[in-house]
Amino acid sequence: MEKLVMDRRADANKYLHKDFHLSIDLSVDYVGRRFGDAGVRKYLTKYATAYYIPLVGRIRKDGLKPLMEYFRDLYAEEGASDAVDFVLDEGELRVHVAYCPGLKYMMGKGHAPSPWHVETVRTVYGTLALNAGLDFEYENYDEKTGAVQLTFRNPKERAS
Amino acid sequence: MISCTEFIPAYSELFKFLEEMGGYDEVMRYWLYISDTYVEPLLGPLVDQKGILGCWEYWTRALNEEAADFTMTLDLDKQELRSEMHHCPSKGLLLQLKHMEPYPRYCDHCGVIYDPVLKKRGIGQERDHSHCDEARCSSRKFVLPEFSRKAPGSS
Repeated sequence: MEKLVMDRRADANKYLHKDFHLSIDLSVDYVGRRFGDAGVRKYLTKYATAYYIPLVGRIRKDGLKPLMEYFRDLYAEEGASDAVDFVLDEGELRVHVAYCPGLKYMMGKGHAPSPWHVETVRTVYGTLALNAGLDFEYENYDEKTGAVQLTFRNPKERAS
Repeated sequence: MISCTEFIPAYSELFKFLEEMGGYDEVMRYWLYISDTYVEPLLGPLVDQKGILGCWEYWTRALNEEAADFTMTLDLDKQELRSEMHHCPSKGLLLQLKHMEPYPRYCDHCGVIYDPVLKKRGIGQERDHSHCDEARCSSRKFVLPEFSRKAPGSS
């Protein structure tokens, strides 16, 4: 009798299922095709509002440093610390993203990203900023690499 | 960027959004779309080439990447794959995020998105989701009797 058995504990592996990048893109693309631009923005606004509640609380309490730490840790988990650098100064956090590891993975798989993929940056971080009481600018997005310049300003820190 | 480590909360919120837009039918419509456009090209060829052994390859890779806590047993003589999910990383994460309410029927998608791909290739599945609220479930995949003689990988 031939049997194969695999018995795995959670701590045997790192949680990094990169195919989820494809799933994110397919989700956003589906919503865009079915419900248009407004549907994509509505979905991602709801997601960002719910998901970032703890981070928004930390930013409101401690300013922009927790936001910088969030980005730093996020890219490190993706194995893409080289993709991002920061300038945090006088109530302003500038985040320079050289490339998006999600887009890089998708392109490597031959998957063309959705035209709505940009909203996973613009709407998601725009919503986070709005809820945290920050001003937000988004510049020079490159849809092929995901390179982008993000600027968050905290009026409270700048005034103090 | 929504990181791949943040996908599960985004997925759960997507199901909620779709239900709000058009009820459970709208959620089902999405799952069937994903089955066709995402699962089919990944899982389908593996099952075509290797039969139920292809299922083993697909899920052992995915569950390792997802850092799941599981036991999977493939009985090649019986052409049967059993999976005990001791702790589902996806549902576990959703239960852990106290500030977010998981989509109540989140776990349904596991049955729906794989069923069409497997069934058309002669593989059935039974799932027990009675412990989903503890991030545990089990499943059995098996070659349907009418396909048993021609299933690749069968002895």
